[in-house]
Amino acid sequence: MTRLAIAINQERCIGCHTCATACKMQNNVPDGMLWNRVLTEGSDVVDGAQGEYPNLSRSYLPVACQHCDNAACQRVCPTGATYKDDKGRIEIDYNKCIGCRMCMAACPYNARVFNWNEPARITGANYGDSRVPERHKGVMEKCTLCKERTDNGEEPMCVRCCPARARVYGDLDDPESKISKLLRQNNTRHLLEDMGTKPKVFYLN
Amino acid sequence: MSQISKAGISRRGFLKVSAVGAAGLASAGAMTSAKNWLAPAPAIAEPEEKIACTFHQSHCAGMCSLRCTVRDGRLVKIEPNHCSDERYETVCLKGLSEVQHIYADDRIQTPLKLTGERGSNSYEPVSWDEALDDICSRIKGYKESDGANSVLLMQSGEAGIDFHYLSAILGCATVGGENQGIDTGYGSGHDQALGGLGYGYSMCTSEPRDWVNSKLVLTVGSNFLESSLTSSREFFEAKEAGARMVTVDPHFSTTASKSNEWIPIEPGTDAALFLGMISYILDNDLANKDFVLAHTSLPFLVDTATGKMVRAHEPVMVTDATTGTERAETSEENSFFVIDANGAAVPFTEGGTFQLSGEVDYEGMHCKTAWDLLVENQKPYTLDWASSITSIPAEKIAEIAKLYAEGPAAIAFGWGGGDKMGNADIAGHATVMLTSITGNIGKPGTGSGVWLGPTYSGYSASLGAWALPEGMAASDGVYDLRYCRDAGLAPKALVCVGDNPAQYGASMNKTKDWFNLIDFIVVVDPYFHETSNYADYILPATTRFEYDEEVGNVHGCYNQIGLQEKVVEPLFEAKTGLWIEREFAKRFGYENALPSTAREYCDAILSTSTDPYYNTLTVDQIVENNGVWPMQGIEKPRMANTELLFPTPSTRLEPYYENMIQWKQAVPSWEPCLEATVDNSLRATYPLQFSNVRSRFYIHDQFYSAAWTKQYHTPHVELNPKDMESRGLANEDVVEVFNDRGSFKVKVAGNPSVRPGSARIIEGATSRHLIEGNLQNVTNDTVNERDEGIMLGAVTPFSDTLVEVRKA
Repeated sequence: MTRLAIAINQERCIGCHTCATACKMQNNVPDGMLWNRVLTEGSDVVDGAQGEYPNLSRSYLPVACQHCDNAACQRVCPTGATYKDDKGRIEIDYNKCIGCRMCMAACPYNARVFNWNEPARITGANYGDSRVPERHKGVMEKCTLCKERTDNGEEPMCVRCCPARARVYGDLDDPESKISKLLRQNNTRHLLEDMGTKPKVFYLN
Repeated sequence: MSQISKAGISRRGFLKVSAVGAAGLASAGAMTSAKNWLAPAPAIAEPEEKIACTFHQSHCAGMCSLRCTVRDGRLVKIEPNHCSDERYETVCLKGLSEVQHIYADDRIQTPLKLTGERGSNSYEPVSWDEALDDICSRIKGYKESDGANSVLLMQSGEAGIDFHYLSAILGCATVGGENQGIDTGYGSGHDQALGGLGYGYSMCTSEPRDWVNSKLVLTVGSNFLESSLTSSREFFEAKEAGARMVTVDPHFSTTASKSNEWIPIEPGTDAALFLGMISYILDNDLANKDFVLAHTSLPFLVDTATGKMVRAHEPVMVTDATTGTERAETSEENSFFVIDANGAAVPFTEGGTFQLSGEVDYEGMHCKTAWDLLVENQKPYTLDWASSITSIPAEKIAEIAKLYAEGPAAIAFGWGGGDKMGNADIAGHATVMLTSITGNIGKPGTGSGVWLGPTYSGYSASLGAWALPEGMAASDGVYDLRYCRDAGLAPKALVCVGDNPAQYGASMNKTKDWFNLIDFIVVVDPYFHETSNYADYILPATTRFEYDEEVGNVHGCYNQIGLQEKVVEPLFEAKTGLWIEREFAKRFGYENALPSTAREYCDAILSTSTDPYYNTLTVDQIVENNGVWPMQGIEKPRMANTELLFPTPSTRLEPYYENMIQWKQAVPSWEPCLEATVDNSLRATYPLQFSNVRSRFYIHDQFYSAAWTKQYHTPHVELNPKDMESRGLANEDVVEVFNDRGSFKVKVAGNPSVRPGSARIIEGATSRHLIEGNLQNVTNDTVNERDEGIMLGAVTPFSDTLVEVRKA
């Protein structure tokens, strides 16, 4: 079996949004949408902090689809458009998506974005990887774990571009993979652990 | 040097440097939108794709080599390039944003001629030939009627990568590499001790890769993890290897938040922290006296009556036999004096035995060692004093001083924090004094300076140059914007490649008045910016993604040679730097002086290198190697100053500055900053220190029009929530930031990371990206009184500014 996953070292995450931009570019994500967002935890402004000056802390939290083993979005999808593939990734079959947005409501990570209108791009043209399928009005979309890259043995674009090398990608079912070794050697957490979603995005801190 | 520059300033003996702290591009103001101009490329079944590479910005010093995908003629994807070591495979959000940014609405699309009043934004498109004929004719006319120095070229360092010869073609005045007042605050105070190594910008450190060898990396006034974000990996490698990363900053910066410890400090008091550390090291006998004796000028004798170093004869300038340039005498030519083992004053000879401390009478002078003068001068600068000035607890200063003295330790300062305060020269001098008394230099894990950016601190390639005909050169005029505006000294014609006037000129209203004194202003740039608002002609240049030949440039990047290939054809009617320069050259009678093609230029740059490693390298080899070629010896981090030999008269570190005696700064002595002092009575009216900092989102004024970056950040002035509350402000309110110099309007955000009593904004936002005005409208342009003595002159104290903020 293959279970593809990402680990994010929050100690190394500098909140630079390079991963978010890399994802947007690679996947032709339309204006006003991001598949991958970098949050400043506990703050209502970018690069804010928790606490009162000078007793402050700051933590950046990149959030995209968590590729849950027990995915709430998949369970509520009435058409089977959202599915878990043979590599453990949660994917969307855009042809089957009827735009009911049940998945959007079910996802506790707010990872999904919906094409309320025909997608617009400020560049006036498509960008990114030509292998990435186009989405149209009425279709849900989200992180695919860069399916078109990872199917071909490449890292997801967010991992490839991370300047701090805070992101590690690999196969959880391969005990020799870099990510498996990393997870064995470090304490990790999942987001919203108590939801029972069993994400395949791991946070090291 | 002509009458235009400040009289009498001669920066003798220091190394020259090309403009590195220069301004950039960017801004809004669309004519035809990119969408309309460019035919959209519809998705088709089998799009035509190609891969090409280029290198990105030099001003963050990342110069990332980028692998670009072009589909149907449009740039659609950017990735880090494939390099010899994946360490060099970097990109950041700004690099990726170029997929949109090169097509941004505020690209200058066609040559434009002003048709109305200046500032009216009334322009008409004209042909390149019409524009160039008129521009060149007018420039020639000014040169004939008012002399060559009546024409001024201001060119940013970033533009200098693409434009090589413009000042020589125009034969005009420049701003030179000195006295620019930006990025040289700490550096000028620091680098004098190193005989000018670091060029006054303190670019004199090893690579950040060496930080893994440090026990302490003390970052002061630098947001390294944003301004050098592609080097963040090296920061974390050091931290994970056990280096204690300590960041001193008034604000809880990203770098502070990722360090082992953040030490908040009162703005403008960095020097007091360093002076306190020096005292602690001296008082607790933690100085490395063996190092001080062997490698510094501190054992040298000083005449206590004059403060001057005792020399064999009165120092004179001599002409160097090798270089033909003027320089100070070496210690062999004019000996320094020391106290020998018997207590007598004797000429200094390297390797001799002498004393660090002592008094002696010699030829009618009462002399002490520079060391003793340092020790005496430090007496008032106790830990408690330093604590009262900096607001850092005394025990914390002691703890850091002890760690620093134990070493190996590095002090990393920057250009966006305390460097913009009016006493930055003293802070820089104090850091090099810390280096000198502890020996934290030249060994693994040590050094002090600006570690910014891997390209500047990594290996350099000795590439060659294209030789211009003899006599084809800039004129001797050097304008110093810090003085020209107040003095009413303006050129007749100003050519700007980059937005230097807005970036360099604090108190923007003075710059606007200065523009009014100039007959004719020409802007050449890919993007509209602040100065383009005042231009008579605006000419569109290409970005580094566009070229009209397959290969456009070769350049030293971080530990590798980078190649600029044609990624896409020049957009709109934009032209390359070389094309524009050749057109100017034709009209100035230098048609055959320039390379006829960029390929010819690139071939010459490689083949004329004196190093066989590079002069046997060909462009084709680099093309075949993905557009990058590793420099020599890069397996190990580049280490700086390992020989401990400096281009000073004694070849030692010389932290005793006898040229600064009149300001009581022969050894660093406390002077507060100029305006943003805690007890300034102006605080009653303008209570907030105005901190204009650097960030990951922009480089100076570039990338403000990058639409993808706007998802994460748009210009805001940030206040501590307490300062928001006391002013009745809520997030996203539009506010006016003002003082007696001027004002601007922008949205406000409350952020506990901001020090109470400060207003923080990211520098570079022009009036095109703020709600009203340019943030330079309020910044402090005072030139400190030590200007004449400081290596590259006094820094412009942009953040040494007090303002008030009110709801607009």
